[in-house]
Amino acid sequence: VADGDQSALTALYDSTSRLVFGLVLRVVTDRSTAEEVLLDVYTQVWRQASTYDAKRGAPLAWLMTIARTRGIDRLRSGKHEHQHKESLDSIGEITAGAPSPEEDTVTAERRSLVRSALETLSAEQREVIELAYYSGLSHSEIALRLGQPLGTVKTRTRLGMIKLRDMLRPMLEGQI
Amino acid sequence: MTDSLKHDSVTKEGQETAALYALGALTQLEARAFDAHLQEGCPTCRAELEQFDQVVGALGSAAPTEAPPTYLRDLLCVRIEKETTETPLPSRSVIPFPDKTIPTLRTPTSTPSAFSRTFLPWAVAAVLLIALAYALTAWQKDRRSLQASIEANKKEAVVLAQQENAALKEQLDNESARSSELAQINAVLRSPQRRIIPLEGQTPAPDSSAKVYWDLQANTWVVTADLPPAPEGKVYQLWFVTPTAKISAGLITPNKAGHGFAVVRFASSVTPLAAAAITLEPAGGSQQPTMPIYALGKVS
Repeated sequence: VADGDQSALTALYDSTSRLVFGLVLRVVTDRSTAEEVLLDVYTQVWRQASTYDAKRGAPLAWLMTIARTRGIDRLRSGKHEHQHKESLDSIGEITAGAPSPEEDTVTAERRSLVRSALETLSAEQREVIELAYYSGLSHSEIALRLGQPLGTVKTRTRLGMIKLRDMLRPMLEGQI
Repeated sequence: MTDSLKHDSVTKEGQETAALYALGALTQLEARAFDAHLQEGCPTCRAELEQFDQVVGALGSAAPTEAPPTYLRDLLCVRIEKETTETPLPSRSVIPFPDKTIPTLRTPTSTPSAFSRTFLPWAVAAVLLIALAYALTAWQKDRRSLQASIEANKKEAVVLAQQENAALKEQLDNESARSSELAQINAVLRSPQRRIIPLEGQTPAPDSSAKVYWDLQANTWVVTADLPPAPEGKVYQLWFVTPTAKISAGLITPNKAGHGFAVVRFASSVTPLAAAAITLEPAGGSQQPTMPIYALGKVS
């Protein structure tokens, strides 16, 4: 993609759009918003591919980071806040753990590693990390939403992140 | 983490701050303080952050996958095609930032946040800090003029209160307009023969959207649209597209918030209606669409 090759972008789209759309949908919850964000994500990838430095991390992580940032920016702009809040759970039920036939094995392996790492966290640790990740809430907003003291939220985040780091270390060092 | 001391070994607080920073969960102020701490060169905290950044980078893979609708791929191709022909690619002229590689494109409507700063280049954070420091010094030097401005503010407050009243009134007007709008939409939705045509924002304003509620029995179309302010001397025009013609369905004039509403009635039905589109036209509208399409919806 870095050379501005259009077919490379469509190839990237074909192999990653299910992942990116899944993430964006989880963040913004509204389908039509997620569709707009998805287009924005790949347009940004197209524009910035030349500045992407492979030494700085796995390309998939880079892509997912753009997707999350775009999604949360859209969430913050609040345009669609009132819409379809209920769709989140149903989406999760329908598609969780159903890998696409085209999805390559590396991606699938990565997903299952991250999911099983998340499962080793306590429910409370997972909750704060997922709130921060998918909703872009700050620690005090999370504390407010959960009705927990700020210190508790911070500790849960720290312990959860350390555990994730330790669990994911082999994968991250291999830069899957 | 606001202290300027370097950490020789990992502390609980350091880990906590790095973890929250990587997740984008610090407040803006805290994030900037941590930025400054890193800039001063604390290898311990930097190493912690790098690892947590990688964890956050991996988390996205855990979200459930979902196939996007197939037409998005075509839309993407069209958009990229346009980018390629309209703007030269920056591929050779862009110098990568030495640190974070992902400058975030921010929309003007979104609030600046602790989240985005993870991806802002350090340079921006440094500039902000300098600006902040400058503002503080200026403030201390010139308290007198500050007090004078407080006096002025008091007078302004009265004016503001009046403006606020006007704003409230406008809000009420908007709400009553909205409720009559909903009544019209409901009327269409109650019709035994109805169709809803969603219009998607196109390249000039991808955030735009519109909906056409079509009462096939009464030959009535109720249109709602959210569009950016039309440039000086331009108007939005609605078109009904059939295989043989593009029929003007009148102008759409969005309010200050960008919301437009129109009811279109024709003596006879427009069939077969293939699509509805909103274009930008010179003041007064056009006989045939000339300017770019802002929103488009095909009748399936």
